[in-house]
Amino acid sequence: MRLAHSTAWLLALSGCSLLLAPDESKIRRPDASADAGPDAGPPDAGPDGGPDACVTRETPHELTCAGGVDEDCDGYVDCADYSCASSPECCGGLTTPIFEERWANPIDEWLELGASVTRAAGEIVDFRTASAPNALVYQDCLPLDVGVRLVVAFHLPTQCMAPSICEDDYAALVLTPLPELPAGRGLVADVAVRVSAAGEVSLWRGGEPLHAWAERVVPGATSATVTLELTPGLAAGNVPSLFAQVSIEQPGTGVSFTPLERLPVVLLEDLANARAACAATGNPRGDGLFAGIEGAGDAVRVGTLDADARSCANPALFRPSAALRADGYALGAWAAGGAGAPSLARYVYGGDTRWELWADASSTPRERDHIDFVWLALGAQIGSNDGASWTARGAEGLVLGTSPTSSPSRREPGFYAHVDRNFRLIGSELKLVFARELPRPTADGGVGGMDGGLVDVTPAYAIFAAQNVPPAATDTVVERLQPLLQSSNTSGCRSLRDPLLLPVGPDLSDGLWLVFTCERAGGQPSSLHIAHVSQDLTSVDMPPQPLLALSESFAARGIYGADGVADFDAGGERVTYRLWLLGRDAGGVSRLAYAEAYDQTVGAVPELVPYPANPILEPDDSLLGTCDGGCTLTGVSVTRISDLDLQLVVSRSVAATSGGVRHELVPLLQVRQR
Amino acid sequence: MTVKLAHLLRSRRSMVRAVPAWARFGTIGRLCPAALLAVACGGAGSPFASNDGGAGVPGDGSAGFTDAGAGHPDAGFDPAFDAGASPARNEADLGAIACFNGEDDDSNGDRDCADTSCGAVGSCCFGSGSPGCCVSDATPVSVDFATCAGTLAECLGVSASLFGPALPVVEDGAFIANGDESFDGSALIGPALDATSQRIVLRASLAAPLGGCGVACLSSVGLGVTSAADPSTVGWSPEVAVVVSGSRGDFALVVAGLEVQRFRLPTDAPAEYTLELDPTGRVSLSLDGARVASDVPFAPRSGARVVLFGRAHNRPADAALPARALAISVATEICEMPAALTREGAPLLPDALEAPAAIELEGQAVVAAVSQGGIYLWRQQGAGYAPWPTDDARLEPAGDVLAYGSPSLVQDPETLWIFAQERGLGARWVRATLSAAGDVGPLEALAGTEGIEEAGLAYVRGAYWLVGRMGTGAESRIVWLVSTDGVAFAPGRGDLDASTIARPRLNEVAAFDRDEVGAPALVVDGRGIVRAYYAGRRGTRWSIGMRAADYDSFRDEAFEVLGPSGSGHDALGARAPSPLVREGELHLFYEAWDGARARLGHAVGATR
Repeated sequence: MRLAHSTAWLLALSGCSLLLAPDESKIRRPDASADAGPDAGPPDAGPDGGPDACVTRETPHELTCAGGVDEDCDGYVDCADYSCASSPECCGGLTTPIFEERWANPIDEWLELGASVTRAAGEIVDFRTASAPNALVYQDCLPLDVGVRLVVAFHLPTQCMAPSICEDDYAALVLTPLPELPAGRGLVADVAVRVSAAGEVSLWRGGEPLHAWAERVVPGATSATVTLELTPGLAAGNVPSLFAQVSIEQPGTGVSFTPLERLPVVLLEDLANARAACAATGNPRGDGLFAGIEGAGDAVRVGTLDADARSCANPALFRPSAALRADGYALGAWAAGGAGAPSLARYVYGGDTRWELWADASSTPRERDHIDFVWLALGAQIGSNDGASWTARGAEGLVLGTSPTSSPSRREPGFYAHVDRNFRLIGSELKLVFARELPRPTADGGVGGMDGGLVDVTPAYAIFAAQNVPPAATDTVVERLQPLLQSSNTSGCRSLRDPLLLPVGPDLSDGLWLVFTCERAGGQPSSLHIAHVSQDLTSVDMPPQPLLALSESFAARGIYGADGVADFDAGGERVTYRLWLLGRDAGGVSRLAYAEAYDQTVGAVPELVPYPANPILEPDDSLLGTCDGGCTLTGVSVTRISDLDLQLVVSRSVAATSGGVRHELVPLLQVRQR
Repeated sequence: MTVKLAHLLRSRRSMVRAVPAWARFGTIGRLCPAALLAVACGGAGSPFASNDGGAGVPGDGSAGFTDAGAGHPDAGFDPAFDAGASPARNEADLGAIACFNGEDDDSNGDRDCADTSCGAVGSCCFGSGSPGCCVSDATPVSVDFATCAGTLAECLGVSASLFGPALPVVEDGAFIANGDESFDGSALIGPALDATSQRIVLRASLAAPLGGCGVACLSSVGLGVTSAADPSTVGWSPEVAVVVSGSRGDFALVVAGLEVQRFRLPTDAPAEYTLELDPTGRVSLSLDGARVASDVPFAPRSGARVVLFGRAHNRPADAALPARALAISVATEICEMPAALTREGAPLLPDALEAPAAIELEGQAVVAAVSQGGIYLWRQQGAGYAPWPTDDARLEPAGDVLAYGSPSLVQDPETLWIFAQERGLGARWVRATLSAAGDVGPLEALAGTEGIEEAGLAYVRGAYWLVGRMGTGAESRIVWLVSTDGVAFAPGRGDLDASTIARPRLNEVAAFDRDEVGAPALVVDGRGIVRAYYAGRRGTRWSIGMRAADYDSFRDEAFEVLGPSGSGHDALGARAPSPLVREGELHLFYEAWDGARARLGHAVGATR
């Protein structure tokens, strides 16, 4: 963790936030008050009066997501506005066809539930009995974390002339959590689009309609094409939900259906109820729904059915890492007690692309800290581009500290590589900050004395910096003797941890932001603070101030361990900071969370907005491997590996069922929309 | 502080004084607490006029709420306690109603249960872990190692288990953990605790030598709770613990393996450490009675056990005793945490069944449920259930009757009744006696139940209470009806609107009962508090919720108590609850839905 990676990314400011759509009324805006005018608030994405100029502040959220207008005057335009991020038009192109069904023989990928339907000429022509529906369900659960588009053709060949015969006939596209047909009933429909024999089209959830169109499908040769967009987003109250948006076309009939705006239909939390069934079909995250076609009678036919995965932004979506293999990464005996707090960078030096991965570690089992003195030291290895071979900085990768490790502890390295957009290291600008333990109170009191003679000896740390970090692995790294920042510089922090360097501007002449964890006395929740420090890490140019605190239950004991990246626009005048951080819950389990300061003026203190659907990664996520007897995240590091892709390394402690605790570093990949 | 309500459990003198206030509100006979009627309210028009409690209030007899021995501390009439009351509404006059009327009666900014003076009122205690809301549920465990002459196992008793590469021992009148370089020595003490519903107070006299214990020596002792089966796993196990380290010369409050706060040991003499764990997830630590850490969050879990653990590794031969425990004690109190339920992993019966109803008969649970329109009975038999008295339906559709549904089993002072809905060309509610042999008597139609689709009944303080679902979907609601004879029912609070106790919370996106409510049921617990359980639907998922009432006002606060589990028989839903309170436990029978079929689910939790 604690890697800041600065490149002059050519970021298209009109698009591509990583965020889903929260309830904009609940989002703590950077400019929540005292805005004097329509454009004086948060950074506007473009010049005043231009196409992105806001028009009225009375609109609570963006009205259109493609019009180039900032309707809600929050400084975010179209897809860059949180309220648009999961709109289909902001979900990128159709990237992955899931299936294209034409109902030709065979249809082995579909589960036939109930009586077999009759197919002919590329259509399902008869669902058989009208008294109880029959159904077909696609065998694989559809992953919904980046959205899905389903397009289905409904066809009414003739008018239903004898209502007593065909009035109960219908056909429906159904998304169900379970590929089973309850006896005498239809599929459990979390969302369904249904066409009746009378041509009525309606959107259903469970056993009740959510919306019915006034227009009707016209019988005849022409099919009506129903498009159902399912995208993840945030409903009122910042509740992660699956949104449905429906559009209907019937060319050549003169009938025009009113498009249905996005409607939250299922809480994402409720998709977890289908996890067991979904995971059995190979969906690695296990959250999704099954697509099915259900119907009764033969009055409504079903033609082509296509499903495509969209690519809505979703910071909670991770992929296994192919770009970095950490399995060859090993520190020496001095780290036998376990490594954590990773800090990763990727840069080109001397023509070679290299990884550099720092961590802290101890020769004593680090989980023994509450009964013994566990001293931590800093180590690093430099890896080849493919991660297959690693070269140690210093002996056995030990950079700052002793073997075996001894007092004072040095921990949580914040390694920083200043690179250009081609990842070339600019000059020799490698920097290192870390937390170093302060001397413990003396026996007669010292810091933290309490009434009644008790002396608080909870370890306290200050932020230190290295004098130099030479690119050559064989050269020595020297630490400064005086702290860069300590608790006396802050208000209310008893200990400073997890330093992170982020660039203020595209080049380092503007100095650096120093983000750190502020630990408070008495077990009160920790938070993130920020200070401005000089380029050479010798002075603090802006006193620390609070940056971010969260009150959600996943962070009941605070947030800590931030890492992030800075993305500058081409002109170097605006910047977006993206931060990943950990929230520790009441049970001591830490999860990964995300926050963003979007498109801000270079030099302004970042105004972080937390992603409302935090946390974004659980410690027992299957992508991280087995969790055995319990596990928790302990650190995170993030670096860019392309304009769109991010490489993460998370550290995790796992209680082994055989006893003891395993500390591991796990690489992950996050791919942004293309 | 201005006091809104002195206490529900005042002396009868104060209860009598409460009457004029209710009279001023114009609610006498409607809002009058049933338990008080015998003293102050009375009146033939009241549905509560017949008697107080009776057989329908297990364990409480006729005392009901006025029984000072029922668990609440009875403050009695204390003028000083009332001194801050509004002059316009004398505290004693305000009485119990003040905690139910949705108003800030004493103008201190807090209403009803949010007012601290209402804190210990029975229905206000749901979801609270405060001492006044929790009652002792077991004999405290106390071990004094200094006076114990036996082995450690003998000192701790048969319910202790010892772990570690070198097992802990009693040495020189103290617990010594032993263990080794990698693993704790530890002892699990006493039965499993449920930190999700119990308030747990751990006390220990601990000591450790100052100045460390030498090179490569480990010396520590800790007391806490753990869910781990083998707590010897290094440093990971305790959910909460106080750890005294001789190696470090300090002590720390450790939560989930992470130290929260650490203090230097002031002396090597023994000191008393107290951990207080609240089931809402807060822990505090005191040293010799002085609080050193307060309200630190932790994650309560069920199945936790008290663990005494530590290390005494590589002790120098001439060293003083290492970190040690001289005495420990464990005290627990049970609190009313509605969602602290443990569900069984398999359906109660393999059959496809709906709409369960349960009652206790002669110490055994009897469950009614619906299958294909008939109502069947099962009776507890050992660990399972067997058809009772035969495999045949007790109520079976025939002739114009197409189906029976929504059964309830109700015991009044004289008779066991089965209530059900009968559906044919129309629908009506009926009741019949149920004999001790399981025979059903003639059906008798109920009156005043038109429009009720699903219902649950209970005998409450001399009256029959019925909660029923009317309407469907967004129009659904749960209404409360009462009857003195069990046949003619009327809205409990004048009309159906005033008697509606739950509706879908349409504007709360994440509410478990956002889209529909239904399938209600009633139970009266040992304190006479009425709980209405009901099903709530969000999308296609059904969950079970609960609202409580001390008197005839059900609280607005709804607790979600059981939802879909995501796997097995209740993967997609839990519906149609049927609660049964017996032997200090709440048994919740319910209709479990896996997406394809309904079966009977069963969950158990503690109750005061």
